[in-house]
Amino acid sequence: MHSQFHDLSDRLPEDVEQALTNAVSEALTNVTKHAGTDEAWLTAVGGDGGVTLKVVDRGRGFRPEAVNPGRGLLRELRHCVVEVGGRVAIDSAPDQGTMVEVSWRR
Amino acid sequence: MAAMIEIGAIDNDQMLLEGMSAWMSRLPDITLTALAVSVDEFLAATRRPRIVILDLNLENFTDPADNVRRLVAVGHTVVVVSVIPDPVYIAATTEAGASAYVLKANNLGVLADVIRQVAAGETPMTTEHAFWLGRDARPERPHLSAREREVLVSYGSGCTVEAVGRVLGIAPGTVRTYLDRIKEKYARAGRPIEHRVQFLDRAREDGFGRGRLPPK
Repeated sequence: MHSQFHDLSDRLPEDVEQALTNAVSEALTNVTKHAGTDEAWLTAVGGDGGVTLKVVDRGRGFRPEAVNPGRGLLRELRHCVVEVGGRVAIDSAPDQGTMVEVSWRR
Repeated sequence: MAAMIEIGAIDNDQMLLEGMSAWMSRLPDITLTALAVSVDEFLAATRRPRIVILDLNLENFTDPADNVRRLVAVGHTVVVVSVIPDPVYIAATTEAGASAYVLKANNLGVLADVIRQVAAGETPMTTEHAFWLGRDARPERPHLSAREREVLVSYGSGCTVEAVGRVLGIAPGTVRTYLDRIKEKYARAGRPIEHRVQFLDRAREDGFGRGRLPPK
């Protein structure tokens, strides 16, 4: 895993921290299980009282519109982040990898 | 067989130099022929390969951007490497004319690929380089357009040029053009003096007198 972190001095509320950490580990689990690659990029950027985390892989990807949003890991991931007031964006295409962006602002 | 790429390395970490040297010796196309612990030592050597791998922090109180500038001034192509990614120095060495930045946490294969690219005259941008340029908050940083910033941030998060292009609705080739342009903006910001010298050179070529100031 390649990781880069910047400007993470702000302490987040405990439930937010927990939700974001869960989401990132779900996203990484997703890479291991489905992306067909053993490489992933994790970036975390803070500032403005918030944080943006991205998990990116260069694996096989998927067609987002073909995946039922109510199912599986993606739903779990989205659910726990939205519950604490965060946002999730997922972008993917066949053979072009997947990007999961999780962000939270105060 | 392709021509052998000859490189030098400047790093205060003796163990790393030896390890890199041993690893490089197994490559069929890259050969490490000059090792030095400082820019002074490197520049004093008789054998100075054009391409140089330079550690960002030589721990000898020298300024990383000055180190790059001194090497570039005498015609070297500089690939900066570092253990700790310091955003200010990464930006400053890019402005000083470094051709690429590689994080030492990467495996040596990444470094070898970057060396091959610069040897071929390309201007590779690593994911880490894009990430840290995207975090450049120095007041004197070069101005990037909104689209250039989007490309930098997206590519810096680990996306391939194809994925960046798809997300932003532009061709992968255009993404590469943006990345090249960003690096060029940095390099330009770092050489106002060179610009003036070139201007005077051109003025001289054009037949202006030596003492004559360029027209405003």
